[in-house]
Amino acid sequence: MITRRINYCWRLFATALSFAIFGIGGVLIPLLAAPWITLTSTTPTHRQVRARLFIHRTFRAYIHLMRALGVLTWEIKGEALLHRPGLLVLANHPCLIDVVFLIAFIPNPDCIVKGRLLANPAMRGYLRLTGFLRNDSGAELIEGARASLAAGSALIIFPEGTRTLPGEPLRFQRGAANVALRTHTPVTPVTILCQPITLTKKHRWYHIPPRKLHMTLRVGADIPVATYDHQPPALAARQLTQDLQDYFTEELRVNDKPIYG
Amino acid sequence: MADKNAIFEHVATTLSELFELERADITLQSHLGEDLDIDSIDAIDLVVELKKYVGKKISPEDFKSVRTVEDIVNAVSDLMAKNSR
Repeated sequence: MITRRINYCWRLFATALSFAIFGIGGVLIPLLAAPWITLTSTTPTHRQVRARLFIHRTFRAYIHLMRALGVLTWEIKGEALLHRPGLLVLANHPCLIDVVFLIAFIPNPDCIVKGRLLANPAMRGYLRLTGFLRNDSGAELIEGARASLAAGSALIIFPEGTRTLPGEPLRFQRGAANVALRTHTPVTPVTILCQPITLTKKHRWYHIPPRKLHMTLRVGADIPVATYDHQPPALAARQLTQDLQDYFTEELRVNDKPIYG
Repeated sequence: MADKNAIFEHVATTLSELFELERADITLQSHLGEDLDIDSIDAIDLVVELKKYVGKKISPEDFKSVRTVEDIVNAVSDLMAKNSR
């Protein structure tokens, strides 16, 4: 009982520390790294690739730090599948730190981020440096995604558009399916479990789970999209969105536990 | 020049064919996002189709403030009026 209480207090402290490090690091790290990366890169594309490798390594160090602090543990199945160029990575979005984990496992990540994330000082520096895509519009977004995939990035999209509401069924928007269909890119699905559930839209940072957080990421086999091409694009997007939603719902139902228990 | 009823008929038919919507569900008051589940990428496809009807280029500006089916009908009507002038 007492040890549980001590464990809880430590995790609360370590969680606060983790948030503080992420916030301060998010301001300072890009500030310090940007001149170096910019000056030592030959072209804007080269700079972006290096900035993305840099954010990948930074986030990887960050999750190792959180594990060392005793805030969380994780496991991932199929990580090597994420190291291929020109991937469209679609994931469900249970909690705030999903994207930190995805970037920590993807060496050349590109993301579609909310435009208003630029207003967040802890994220602004990273976003400027990496040139992540902003989800402000329809047509430009598809073209941006096409260019990103052609350049060999692994483009991460959360088809839900925002974090899952706990206890609610998954609801996918059609943007991700449209990107897959209109760029003819198979989908690399990643199902993410966050257990016990924490850091949803309804949690504040201090609402820590009763036991240590465990993240499980499963990278599935690529889902081909060429079979949808016989339909007009608007209808194909609806069909693929429904199929993806069914796929993730089923994966989460069947695999509602860590890989190694 | 087509009157607004004719334009509405055309817009409603286009919507139902493009997005497999029930023709009966589409009224002037239908909200594109909330009622008909049309997103920004669908809107691009819709504009491509409407171009053929209007017979001239449609700039995204013309459709920027469009929220309902009635807004589309008015926008198309304005464009056609400009055309015939």
